[in-house]
Amino acid sequence: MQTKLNFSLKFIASLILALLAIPKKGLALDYNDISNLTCPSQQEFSKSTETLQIRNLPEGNICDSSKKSHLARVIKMANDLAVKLPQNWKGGAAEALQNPFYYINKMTSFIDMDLSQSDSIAYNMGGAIYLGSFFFNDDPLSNLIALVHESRHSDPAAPLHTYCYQGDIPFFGAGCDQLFSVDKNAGAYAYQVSFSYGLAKFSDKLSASDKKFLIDDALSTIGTRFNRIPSLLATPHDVLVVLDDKGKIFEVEPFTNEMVPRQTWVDNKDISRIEFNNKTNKILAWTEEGYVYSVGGNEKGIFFGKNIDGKKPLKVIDLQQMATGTTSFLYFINEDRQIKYTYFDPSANKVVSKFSGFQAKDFKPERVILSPNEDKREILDDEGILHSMGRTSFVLSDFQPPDGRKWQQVYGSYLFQDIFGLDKTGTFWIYDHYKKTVKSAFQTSGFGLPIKVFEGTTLRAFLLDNNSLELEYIGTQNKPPFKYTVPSVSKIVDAVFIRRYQASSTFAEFPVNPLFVNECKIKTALLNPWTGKAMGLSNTNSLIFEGHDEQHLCTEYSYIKNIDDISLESTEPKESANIGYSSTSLNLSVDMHTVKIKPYEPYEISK
Amino acid sequence: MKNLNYLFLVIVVLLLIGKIKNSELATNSSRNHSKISQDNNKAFMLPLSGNYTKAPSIEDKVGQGVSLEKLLESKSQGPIFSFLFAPEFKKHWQQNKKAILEAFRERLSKPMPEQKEPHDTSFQNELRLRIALVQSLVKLQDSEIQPLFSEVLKSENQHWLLKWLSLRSLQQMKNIDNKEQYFSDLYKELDPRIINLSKYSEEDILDRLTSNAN
Repeated sequence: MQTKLNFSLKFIASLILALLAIPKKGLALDYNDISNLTCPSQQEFSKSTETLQIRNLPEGNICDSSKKSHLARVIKMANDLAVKLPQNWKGGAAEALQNPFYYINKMTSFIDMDLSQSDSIAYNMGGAIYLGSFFFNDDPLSNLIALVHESRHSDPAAPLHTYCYQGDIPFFGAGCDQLFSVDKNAGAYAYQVSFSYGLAKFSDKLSASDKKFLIDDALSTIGTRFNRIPSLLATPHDVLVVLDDKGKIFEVEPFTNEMVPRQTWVDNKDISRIEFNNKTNKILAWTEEGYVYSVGGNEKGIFFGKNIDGKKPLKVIDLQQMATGTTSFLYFINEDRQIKYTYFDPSANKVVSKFSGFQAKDFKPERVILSPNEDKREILDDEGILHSMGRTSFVLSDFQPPDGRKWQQVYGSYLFQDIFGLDKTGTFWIYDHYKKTVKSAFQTSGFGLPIKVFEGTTLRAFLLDNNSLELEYIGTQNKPPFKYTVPSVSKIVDAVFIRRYQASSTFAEFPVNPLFVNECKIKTALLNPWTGKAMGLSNTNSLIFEGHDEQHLCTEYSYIKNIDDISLESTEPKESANIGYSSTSLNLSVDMHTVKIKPYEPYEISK
Repeated sequence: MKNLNYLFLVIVVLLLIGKIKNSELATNSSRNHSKISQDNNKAFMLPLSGNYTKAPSIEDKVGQGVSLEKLLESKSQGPIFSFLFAPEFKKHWQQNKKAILEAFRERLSKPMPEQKEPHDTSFQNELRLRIALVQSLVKLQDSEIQPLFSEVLKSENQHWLLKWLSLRSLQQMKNIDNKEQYFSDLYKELDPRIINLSKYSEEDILDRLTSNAN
């Protein structure tokens, strides 16, 4: 009986304890709702206030709806949300993740209020954090992220925010991190992304919706506040596209020189000019009559005029499309030589077309140039003189070639900062639009007089009159330019680079055409990121590329034989570049050497 | 032995009382702060004029007929996320499908807020909310969502993150008719960057980013 009672008591006790151990719904509330957060005790809060040296605490009690209570709860939360990181975590923000409260304290001399700043969340001045009014309207997890972000600014190793060259807030000074990093050189935005993601990944206290909030915060920061995102998200590969004098458009395969025809709806013989549209990642094809078509990946082309006015066919001398925020602005010169711009007005759900005051009187506008001005545009006239046009227009004297020379071509960068000019003697000029000075100038190397200059993501090309190109890598001055001749029987009249975006084949599956593997006797296949098709090593140790049709199914790279292995190598651009893209090469192992082959370039051997 | 049993029973009862009290306090601390402050420490007794009571949840408000569009305007996004990612959202969707879809559509088609200064986070906050709206619909596997994703994808003025998520969501939908043809047509209209990115989940991207940054 005694034993039975013993057993029953123990059983009941265990049962009660087990039941009590199950978290109640009320206890598993989201941290990101201020009304769910536990208040600290007076003693706890006093200690925190002293440790963090919080000055000018707002009025209120620790546990009411006051600003003081808001701050008290957030600070308690910072103490509660320390996570245990796995030893192999290399994702950054480790110190803040392991103890957010300690990190904020370590990096901050004191915390003060600046409640006159009604829209401001927080800012760091000289190592002290000032909280603006909006801090107290924001969510607790946003508050914590803001405190960690501002604390990071106190680290001398953290680079300051810089001008936004791209992303969703171009034109902004001190709005972006230059690059994403998880290292000691991580900027405050990068550190914030690592912190948000690490907390979502490793916290055992946060609810599912808290974790979603943090992940979405990391994503929205990635999507808005970096000039350079590592290439893993989408690596662009430059592919040459040419237009011949018969009006045919071809893609030129970078290693086999295969000319892949591009179909368009337009009667081919009508096409007289091609350009690349950065915004849409498509080719713009002009017909002799002045109509413009947008030619995409696999599609044959959409008449661009309908996107501009929506009613009647529109002849366009030139156009540039750019994005600010999520609105796409389109600047164009119409057949009456008026400069107009259009933008999509989501509230009216229609494209709005405006004159915007750009009306040239004393010259004929020929080209519109992308530049960092929102209220002004640079315009090249038909004589090769560059104008700046806003409410008034004037010749842009800071950027004209010397000795009365005229511009052959001027183009803007989608990076907004620089304008590039090729004068009619073949000298190439780079102009810094912010500093209003010429940054550099060089004579093209003498393969011939260029008739056009154009850029991809890593390559700059000067189109010469004899079907060849002078090519150079952007931003690498120590590498000499090289010549590439387009293998065409017709005369090339125009050319551009398009970008083919490919994810790394190491973690993205891609379907390999079984016909290619069987017919070409392939033992190792890789994705060819320039064409989106396959390439591989054959049983006879030759490099084979999958061509665009059955006739070219097994196109052999005949320059190098007896290859032991093939691989792709991507190198990130140097940090010093404002913005840059990774450059990919195809590495071939041959007789204990690595032969690096790059698109359109003679190969080099390294031991 | 008997004493030991009694002792054990006493301990259990004491534990039980302590646990229940803690539980009450903890619950109170999240529900009724004036009560806990009075219980805990007289030194910081709250004036009752503080009147701090938990606001009704979005779910309650929607149940009371408050429009979801209005609730999404709230600056505080924590409760919105709770609403979107709670297991009950599916049930809520079944009951208010049209209203939810309309509210989301309206929000997604609004222009993004203009950034007035670098420290202004309104753009990022809006983007974060829109990402959550799209994510919350994915798990529903309802063919009525398909047109909304398609609109987001074809809109010239949507952020690439929203397009990427919409395309992923479409790819995960099981009930698309003639799926192969549908995607073949759709891909022709899309930026290849978005098609490429659609291979990755949110975690994939963040994992790759944080493990490959340097």
